[in-house]
Amino acid sequence: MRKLLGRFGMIAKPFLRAVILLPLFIPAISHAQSGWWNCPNPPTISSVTPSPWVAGQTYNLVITGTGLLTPTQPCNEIPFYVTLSNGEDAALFNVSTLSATEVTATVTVPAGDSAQTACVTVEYFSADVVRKTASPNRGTCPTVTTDFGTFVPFAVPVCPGPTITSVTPSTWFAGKSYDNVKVIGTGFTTTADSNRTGCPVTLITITAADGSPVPISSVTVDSKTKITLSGVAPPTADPTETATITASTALSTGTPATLTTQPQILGNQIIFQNNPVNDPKSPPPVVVGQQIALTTPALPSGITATRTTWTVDGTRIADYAPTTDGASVTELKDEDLKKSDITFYWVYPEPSATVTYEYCVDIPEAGNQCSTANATFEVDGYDSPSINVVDNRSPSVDHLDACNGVPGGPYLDFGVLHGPHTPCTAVGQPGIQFFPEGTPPGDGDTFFVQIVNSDIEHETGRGTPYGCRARPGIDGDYPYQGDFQPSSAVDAPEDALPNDQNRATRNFNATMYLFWKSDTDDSIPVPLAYVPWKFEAGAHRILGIWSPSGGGTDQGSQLADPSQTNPRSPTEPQKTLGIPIWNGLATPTCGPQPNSAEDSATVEEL
Amino acid sequence: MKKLGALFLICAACAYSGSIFGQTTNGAFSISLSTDKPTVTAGSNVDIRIKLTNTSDHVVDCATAYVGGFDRRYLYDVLDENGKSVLKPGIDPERYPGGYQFCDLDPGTSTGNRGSRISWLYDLTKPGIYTVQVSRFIGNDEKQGVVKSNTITITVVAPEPPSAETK
Repeated sequence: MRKLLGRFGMIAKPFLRAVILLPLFIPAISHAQSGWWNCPNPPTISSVTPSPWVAGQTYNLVITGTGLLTPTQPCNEIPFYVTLSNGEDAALFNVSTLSATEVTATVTVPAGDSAQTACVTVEYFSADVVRKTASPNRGTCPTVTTDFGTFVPFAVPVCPGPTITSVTPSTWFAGKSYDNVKVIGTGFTTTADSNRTGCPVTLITITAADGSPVPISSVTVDSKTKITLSGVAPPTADPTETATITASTALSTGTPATLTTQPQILGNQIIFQNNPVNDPKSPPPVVVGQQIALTTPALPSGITATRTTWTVDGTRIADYAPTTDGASVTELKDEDLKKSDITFYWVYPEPSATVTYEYCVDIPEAGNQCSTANATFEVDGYDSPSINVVDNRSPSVDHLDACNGVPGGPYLDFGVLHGPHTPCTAVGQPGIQFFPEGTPPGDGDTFFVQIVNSDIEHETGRGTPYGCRARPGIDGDYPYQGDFQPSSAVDAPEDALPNDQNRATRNFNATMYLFWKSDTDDSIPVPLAYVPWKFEAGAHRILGIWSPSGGGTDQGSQLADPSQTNPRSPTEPQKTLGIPIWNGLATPTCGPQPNSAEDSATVEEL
Repeated sequence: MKKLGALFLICAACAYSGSIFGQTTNGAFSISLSTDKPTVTAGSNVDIRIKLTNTSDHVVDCATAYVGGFDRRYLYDVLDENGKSVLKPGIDPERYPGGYQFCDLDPGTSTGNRGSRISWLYDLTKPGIYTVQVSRFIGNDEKQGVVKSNTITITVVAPEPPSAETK
């Protein structure tokens, strides 16, 4: 039926309408039969706005012309109808005759992807009217001739409605340019088609998620199904956003035909504490030792990164968890730097530390593409950290009293001790005192850690030489004296002098570190400053009385420094990036030492 | 050991035993004893933590005197399941060079949870359940007595035999 109508519709359909309306016209038939030639001049249509139309759209029309009022009998009706050149009808409704020269109506144009001509026709009807041969007029609209006269349709171009089915490449990286982007669809109007049909060449627009236009250029409508162009993805897109690419007829009136598809634009972000870090003018404040856990948004389903790479400025490490039993620095490894997320710690202050994350993906039609995100951090640290040292320079021989049933006796002390020996309570003055200096960058603990680098005691006299040697390690406890918030640290190494020897020496070498540990979650302690210090103390016994026989000390505060990776001498603690490392407690081993030459030589080195 | 006689050694070791000191006083401070690892494998280090709290209205001494991680400022009772001391023989902590760290504790304040490696002086290499209690002299004069801590239990378990795969 549709095919039949398509072939004969221009003539047959008005006739069919007349047949359908026949019962209404019966009273008028006699008049028509006797006087249709007395009808007013046939109505004419001089304009239809808007024009042209786009397939698939609905328009509110204003039709102007002459003789548009409903005539009197026998000229019963002036029905408007719209027929496309392919034979399809366009639905016309809400027809309202305002005057003899103006009618309004609403038309819905059938969808289609080819240019058409819509014929807007008005004619007198009568049930027995005889249609004459139609003849072409105004393009493809045939003139309708009946017994009432000749009615000339008004031709309105109908432009195809474009659709987009795909965009290639369909994934773009923010900030990158793409040439030879292919937009595939239907109903595109080429320049040649435009010249032939009067329909505008199809326009392409691309809009970012925030509504801003995406720059495009070199747009060419190659065919009814293909457009090529060059585009630049927005540089500040969200991690993944969806752009809208629109094909339209760009008509100045009416609703443009707009059909869209949505290519993905892949952005890149570094996220810290649930917020993107992308403004170098406002770097997020962090502190040394704070855990920096950075994440990146997940890629859309179906897209897998072929490569991910982090670069982090400054002295940064993966972990440092010191205990009494040991401390080691875990540096960031290559595999840490090749994951989509990264966790690390800055050890030293960094006024402006840049972190970069790059990932690459293979995009069909675009090849391997990479995107880079940068984040800048301000790493705050202790202000002017140092250790103020009070060195009393007082190796001495003190007599400590009995305690808990054990007799007292002489002690070689670095400092001054009085009263009973341990485990009772002695009093006196330490040989060295350490005071933390500086201002912390926030809440946290400032504490000391002492590493004994070497501790050699040697006794000679009447019997077999006797000595003690300590393996390097933590002095006593981590932190020093188990105190995470000390106002100071003191030390007074002491050693009981025997009653069967007459000479004793002790050479002690240690490094006192000042640490700070932020109260932020999962932070690590970081070194601030350190004091290498040592003393050499000697004592001799004459006539049963022990007396000091000289000795000296040396110390000096220094700042922790990432360049200090290896100790410069065997009596310095091991370090990684300036961070002290150790393997357990400094534990002395004592016993007879017949071969005293080695110890003596070691003592001389100090 | 040449420098000290055997008898003296026994006495010296006893100097760190709290059990011989019967006088316990409600002193100017309290001692809280704990451990991070209530169960350890035989042969591994055994550490306890000691927290001293000044409960008086005056400063009290909180000095430490470490040797090998063992704080000599305390008296220790480390007993096996039969109530016998597991003190290692032949070790006199006073004969080891060590440190002495003076410390004043203000009223109402506490020290940190200081570590003390008791396995340096006590033999905890045999599987079993051990009780540990420490005490501390109240002042310069030992006649003032000691303050004792709570008692904790440390379980020493035998090492797991190597699995068949590692044999």
